[in-house]
Order: sequence, then structure tokens, then C-alpha cells
Amino acid sequence: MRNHCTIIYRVLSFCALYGGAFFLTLSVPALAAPGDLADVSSFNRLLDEPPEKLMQYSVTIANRNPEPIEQSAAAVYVLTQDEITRSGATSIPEALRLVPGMDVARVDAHTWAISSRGFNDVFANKLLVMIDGRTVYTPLFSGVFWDVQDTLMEDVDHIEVVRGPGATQWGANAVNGVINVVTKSATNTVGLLVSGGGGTEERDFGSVRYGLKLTDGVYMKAYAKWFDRDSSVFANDADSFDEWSMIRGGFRIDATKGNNNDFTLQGDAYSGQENEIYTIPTAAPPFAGFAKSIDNVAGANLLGRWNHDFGGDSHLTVQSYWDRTVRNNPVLSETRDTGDIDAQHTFKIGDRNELTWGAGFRSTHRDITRNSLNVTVLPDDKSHDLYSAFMQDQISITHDFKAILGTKFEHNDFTGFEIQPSARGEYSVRTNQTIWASVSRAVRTPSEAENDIRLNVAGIPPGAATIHGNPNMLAEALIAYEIGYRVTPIERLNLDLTAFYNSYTRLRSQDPFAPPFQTIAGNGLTGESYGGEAAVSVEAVPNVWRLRGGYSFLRMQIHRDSTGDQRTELMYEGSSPENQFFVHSSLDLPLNLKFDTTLRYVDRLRAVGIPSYVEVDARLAWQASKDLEVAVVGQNLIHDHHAEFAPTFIGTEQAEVERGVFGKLTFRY
Amino acid sequence: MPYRSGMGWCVVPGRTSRLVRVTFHLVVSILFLFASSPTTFARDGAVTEIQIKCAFLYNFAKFVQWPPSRFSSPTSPLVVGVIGDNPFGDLLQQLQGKNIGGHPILIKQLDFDAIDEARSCHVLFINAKHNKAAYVVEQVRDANVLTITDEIDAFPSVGAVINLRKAEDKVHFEINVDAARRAELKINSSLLNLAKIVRDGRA
Repeated sequence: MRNHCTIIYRVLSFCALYGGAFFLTLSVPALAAPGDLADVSSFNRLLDEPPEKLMQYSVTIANRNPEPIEQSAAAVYVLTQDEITRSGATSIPEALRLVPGMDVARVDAHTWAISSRGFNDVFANKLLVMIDGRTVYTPLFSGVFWDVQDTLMEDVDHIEVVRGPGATQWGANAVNGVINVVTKSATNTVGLLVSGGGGTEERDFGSVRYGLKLTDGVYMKAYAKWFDRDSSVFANDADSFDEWSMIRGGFRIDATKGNNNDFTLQGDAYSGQENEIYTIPTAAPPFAGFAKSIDNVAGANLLGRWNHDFGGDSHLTVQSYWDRTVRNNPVLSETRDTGDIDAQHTFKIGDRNELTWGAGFRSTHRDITRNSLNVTVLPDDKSHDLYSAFMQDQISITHDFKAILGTKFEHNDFTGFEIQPSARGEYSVRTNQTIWASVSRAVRTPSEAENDIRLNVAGIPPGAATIHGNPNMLAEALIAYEIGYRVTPIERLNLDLTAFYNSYTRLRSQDPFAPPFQTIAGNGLTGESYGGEAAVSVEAVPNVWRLRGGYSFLRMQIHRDSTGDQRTELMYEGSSPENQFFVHSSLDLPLNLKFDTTLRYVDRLRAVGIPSYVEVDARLAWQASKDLEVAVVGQNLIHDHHAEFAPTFIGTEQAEVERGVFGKLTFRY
Repeated sequence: MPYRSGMGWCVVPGRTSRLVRVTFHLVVSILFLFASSPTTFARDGAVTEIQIKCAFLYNFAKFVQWPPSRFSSPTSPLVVGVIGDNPFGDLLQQLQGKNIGGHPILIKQLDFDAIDEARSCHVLFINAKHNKAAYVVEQVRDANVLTITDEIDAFPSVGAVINLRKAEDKVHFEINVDAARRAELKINSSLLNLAKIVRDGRA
């Protein structure tokens, strides 16, 4: 919450500055530069399409999905750049709300809990998240620090989301889903892009990207951005001291050399400040105190990729990256370096078999720069290595039926060898229907914290109820059964239905350890979950009105073995919504106006005491000229503020998400 | 545990960077002065007519078989020429080096008087109106060239092999089977099935 005068001042000065500039633009046509924008966007993917597909593209309407969803036997959803932009989402976590079956909850201004198919938590640990193939979940807790997973939103080409296990290809942690954020190649971003704006929650933000052709076949782009976001509020309307700001910059070079070699080199660096109030244990009664902190986060990464085409459907990809993350806060500070190298080779044997195999090595090093009475992770200097190999065969049994068999072999420092096989089948019924089914195994290897943590909670004398890590933790294991059906019953209507049954064993529990109330991490829970997801898209009025929607249903049943605890059981059962749906409407209006609204419903979360809620986002954009777009976005319009999740393990504030409005100008040249 | 700062190597944005922001907003607004010129949208993620047509250029090459004598070796380049102004801009360079049946694509941009070079092309996109296009086609008539024209109304009388047409909001194409036979090109039947088939001088 900010002083209203400040907000009004901010909005007015914003309007005056940009409004003034814009009307000058209208009145000075002599200065107008000719349109010379090399529109190579999404072109490379078009090249892989057969002529019958090319003939189906509508070339006057812009909001068409440039990439038909991959016909793979899994619950795949592809969120396009256009959908992200039109939703008004300003971050990757917020964009994920537009994916059917994703469970996105904002804990405070800079903290999200994100999962799919259950087990949501601030420390949710069953998703594999990648940005351009770089794994971004932290081995510290096997989850994702969503606050630092960002890029220029205009640079996101698409976000691929697989619900359900993807471990055969991607490895441990790809238990309940895989998210890959794919950014645009530098060949597709020639020219200048500048955007900026501000508002109530998104106080002010701006970005610049410039892309150019260096020489024949070599393109480069660089970007910089910052944002400054307002704090949330507590349930009682008081400011919750969680405002944050971040600056970030990066580059990407894409080169084509010779007949069949593509190279990519890319990197980012970022730095930010996040306010937070921690409730921490103290040594003396009442054993609890508040720590108001300005946390620092920073990081950098560098990735190189080489694609080689041997001809005859045989190609090789070799990729390597280095990634550093730095987090400093009063509870636990850490600097982590990760290095990874990975190779993958695909080739055909005869007409029917497409074989893919690969191998990888990853090493991660933690340097705990601050332990506290609240959280201790020891030893503070430690490295872990991961070796992996996988093999997959896609067999075209008939023209309509294909099977995909594969397995991953992995060796990690916690549990040794893990095998993660899967079998998938897909059958095409005529041209407009596909049925698929799969059985797969995935594991979630223990995190460093589960091995090495000691956690004291506030309000209890330190030591009395300490949660201990356990070096003997085993990997959580999942056997997943899935079926799916995709159909285009009539032109312009697409329907994608999936159902799953998941059987988990050795789920993490907090077992009794030592008197009086100390506990230790264990594998004392098992469970089943089942549910389904539906995704619909329909072009209700061609070239004018498009609707997308998603619905998901989930049931969880967790059971205690001899050791497991009820607290964790109830948490697993009640931390994800049973029912969830959203509808996104995209209208192309006359006068170059575009109007988008998103309505979403999220069921209650019993375990964290969050009631169900309905929220609405809206965006109105005006393409004022070829180069300039003006947009106004409203977020969470229904309530003044609403709660979406509650903190777990670490005593941070329970903040509520406020209504927000901002304006944005985007200039491309 | 002693506190060691790991932040020494990075810059932290703070409230003090307001000057930077104000400067940024000013720069942005000045840039807007140079923005304008009425609507033709080329937005990220949108598919344009030129993109589709350029993708077809590549696609056609995949579905056509040239007489073996047209390639000096199994890995010699497949030459794609554009005669006249290049309507595809930088897109064309994206095709460079792509592999079709072992032959890497080589892009050439030609003037109308470069007839010898035009005859050496495997695919020749002719960016010209009716008469001029017919002239170019005539010059490469017996050189096994896949000639492609763009939006020509009396296409059968020009004698080129393929003509690209935008109708409504979709891109279609016509194939002159007589011209294909003259050029000794084998066109895959799946491509023929998608095309509007024409013959010399007839629609």
C-alpha cells in the first residue's frame, strides 16, 4: 500500500510524459521513419511445417498459435508469446496461471508456490523448470526460487509445460511436471524494442532490447530491464513490507556456420532487493522475534549450445552452462555455482525407429555464507555430482500408431543409481483425433536441505522441536498412469482432455526423532492422487474473438506408514486446489484495439487455510502505429486484496495480493 | 557462523536509481517521436504473408526431384535464386545452409540480366509482373529450373511451374504440370494434391 498522493502523482506524471510524447508523434509525421522491421519472428519453426500446414495459416490475424502442439503422448501445453502478452502477465510465474492444470499461488509480493497435480508449497519440489534448457530448480530444496526466474517477457518465444512425469527424458525432479521457457533466437529479434510503464502494484518498469545482424548468419541481441514492485498488504490492510526491485541484463548470439551447424551463446545477470519480515526463533522467551530485512538476491549464467545436422534425420545437440545464484537473508544465505554439460543425439533406424540417446554431467557447489538459529545447513561448503544417461525409441508401428519407449539412468550423491523408464503409445483416429496413454516412473531425489538442515521454529525454545535433516533419506518414487484425448470436433474448436492416476511411495515425512518434540526427515508416507485436466480453445468469431479455457480436478489421498506424521499428511492432502478453472477471452476490435479478460477460480486450500477465490485480469491495448502499442492492464480486479497461500517452514509474512493497475508503452523499430 | 557477504561482485538497485528511471522514461518518450507511419503490423508471434511464402519456397524444394545431372555431387549445393527485388528481406538468409536431401541451400540474388546465373539455379523465384516474368521463364525454359512466380493472374500463360496466391487470408499455390514436365521436374504427388493444377494457356 502506498500513499495515494504518490500513486496519483506517479500515474499523472507517467501520462503526461508519454501522452505528451505521443501527441507530438501524431503531430510530427515528417519525422516518421519508414517501416523496415525484419519480421523473422517464428519463421524458423514455419520451415519445418509441411505445405498442408502452411496453407492453413491465416496471415492477417496475429493471434494464431504459430506452433501446433506437439503430437507427443503426454499432457503438453504450449503457451505462446501472444497469449502471454495479451494476458498482461509481467512475470513467468504469473504467465503460468494461463496454463491449464498449473497451480500458481502468490505468497507475498516476491514469493510464489507453484506446482501441478498436487503437493503445492513455497518449497514445492516435484517440478523440473528450465529456461532455454538451463535447469533452474535449486538442489537446496529441489524447488524453484521463482523471484529470480525472469527474462524480458517480450523475449519469451513460448513456454512448454508438460504435466505429469517427464523423467525419462529430463531426469530426477520431473515428477509432476516439466516447464521449459524458450526465448527467441537472436535471428528473430532484429531491431529495437523499448517498453516502459508504471502503476499501482507494478510501480515502474522498463526494458530495452536491441538485436542486429553481425555478419552473414550471425545475429546478436542484448537486453536490459528493471522493475520496482509495490508491497502487498496483510489481511488487516496494513503494508506488509515486501516491496522489491530487480535489474537484469543479458545477451544472445545465434550463428549458423556451414551447411549444418548452429551455435548459440547466451547469458544473463541480475541483482535485486526484496523486503521481508521474518518471524524467527530467539534464545530467550518468548522464543520469537521479528527480523525486518532487505534481502539481496543476485545471479548470473552463461550457456552455449551446438546443434549439428549429420543429414538423413540425424542430429546432435551439445549444451553446457554455468549458473551462479546468490541469496542473502538473515535466515540462510547461500552462494551456489552449478556447471552442466549435456549431449543428445537423434537418428533414424529404418523407416520406423527414431532413436534418441544422451548423456549428461552436472556439478553443483553450495557455499552457505550465513547460518542462523532458525536454519542451519552444514557443512557450509559442499559439492554434489550428477551423472545421467538416457535412451528413447519412437517406433512408428503403423501410420496411425506410434509407441515411445525409453528410460533414464542417473547416479546422484544421495541415493546412488535411479532408473526412470516410461512407455507411451499414441493413436491417431482420422485426422482430427488423437488418443494417447502412458505408464512412467519418476523419482524425486532428496534435496540438500533434507539431508543437512536443522530448523528451529519460532515460539518454541530452540532445540525443543528442531526439525533435522536425514542423510539416509531415500528418493520419493512415483508410478504414473495417464490417458489423453485430443480432438478438433469442428473447425476452430480444439479440445484436450487428460486423466491421471499417480501412485507415490516413500514421500517425505517428519518422523519423531528425540524428546520432547524433535523430528527428522523420513520417507514415511505413501499416497495416491487422481484427477484430470481439460483445455479448450475456440475461435468464436474468426479473426475477432478467441476463447481459451482450462479446468483441472485433483484428489489426493496420503497414508502414513509406521513412521510418517499426520501434519505432513494433511499438508499434502490440502495444499492444492481440488477444482480450478480459467477462461481467457481475446477480442480484436476495430480501431486497432485489443481487449483481453481472464477470469479464474481457485478452490480452497484446507491445509493452509485459504478460502476459494475468483479473480479477473483485463488488458486493453491500442496499436497506435506500426511501431507503438499503448496498453492498460488491470490485475486482480475483483477484490481489494486476497490471500492465495501461506508460508511454510520459514516464518515469512502471510501477505495478500492487491488489485493493481498499470499502463505500458511498447515501441518497436 | 560468521556472515560473509557474497554481494561484492554485483550492483544492487535501490531507491537512489530514480535518476536512471527518469532518464529512461525521457529517452523512451523521445523515441516515440520517431514512431509512427500507419498500420502494417509485424508483431512478435504473428505469421506474415511473406513468412509463409518464404517457407513455401523452402518447402517446394523438398517436394521436387531434379534430374540427377543437375547436381555435380550428392553434397553439391541446391541453388535458390531470387530474381528482381528480394521481397523476403532477411528471411531468405535463414534458408541458407539448410539441408535438402544432402544438398545445402545456397541463396543467390540476381538481376534480370543475369540469365546464365538464373539458369544455374534449381529454384528461381521471379519477382516480376506478367511480361517480365514470362521473359525470364523463357530464358531458363530448358535448364531444369523450378520457376516460381508470385500473384500472377494469367499464370498459365507465363509458363512458370508454380505460382503463389493469397486468397482470403491464406496462401495457396498453383502448379502448371506442363511447365513441370518441360523442366523435367518430378513433383511429389502430395504437393500436387494440395495445388490448383493448371496447364499451359488454360486455367
